[in-house]
Amino acid sequence: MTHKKVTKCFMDQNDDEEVILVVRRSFIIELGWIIATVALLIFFVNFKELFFLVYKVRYDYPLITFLQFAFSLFIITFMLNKFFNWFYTVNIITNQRIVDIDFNQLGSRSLVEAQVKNIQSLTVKNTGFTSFLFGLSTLQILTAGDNPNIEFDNISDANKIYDLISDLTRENEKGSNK
Amino acid sequence: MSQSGIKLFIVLLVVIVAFLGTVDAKYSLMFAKGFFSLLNFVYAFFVFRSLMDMNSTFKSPLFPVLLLGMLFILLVPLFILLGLFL
Repeated sequence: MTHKKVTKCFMDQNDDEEVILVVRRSFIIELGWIIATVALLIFFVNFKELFFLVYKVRYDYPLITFLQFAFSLFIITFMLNKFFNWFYTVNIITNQRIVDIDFNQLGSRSLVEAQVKNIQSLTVKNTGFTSFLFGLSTLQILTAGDNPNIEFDNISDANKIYDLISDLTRENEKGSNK
Repeated sequence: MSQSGIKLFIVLLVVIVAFLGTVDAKYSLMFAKGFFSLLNFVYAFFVFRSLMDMNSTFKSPLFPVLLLGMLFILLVPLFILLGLFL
């Protein structure tokens, strides 16, 4: 038996495992931190003038430089954490399983997987004003026994993904009944 | 960063500031610049390690772009420290 050569997309991917879909949170949800970062950058650029307005003393070097340094590191940490949190928090649907990779913060991540054969039920939830406005939903995948449940948070096109996973489970059931 | 990491960082900061207070002003400025540059490099390494770890978990074709972008962004505090920016 020969298999098509598959480029590995995630850790522990089998040679005969094909990635069907990679799902991320909708980018609309990320607008909050992007606006906050822009506001922090505006504050950062005008830092010297704002410092003068508050303390009525014009410090130039080195105090302002060190404060700007610390403030820039703070903004960078905030921005990188939020961006990596969006970029690396992914749900991967393959023909064999569903993988949930969560980036919690810099230096911390978690990975949960559920085999397609263990999927018991699927639930699509649509609650809240923003999810209603932008058509975002949460897809819950309940698995059998002690296996952890998986959630796809704030995704668009939840119904299509719901269909895809239910087709996969049906095909898997047919395959195991043969 | 974990709780123990933050505690270690605060202790290190207090020790360095206390040390800077004991030396002559012209040297303390030099030491402060050196310390903050070192801090920036340690932080850049921490972010780099975190990114490499995430890339081993989920491989993205955009990884080289992310890596270059991150390294460029982390040079900004160093430029500020050297007085080359703003």
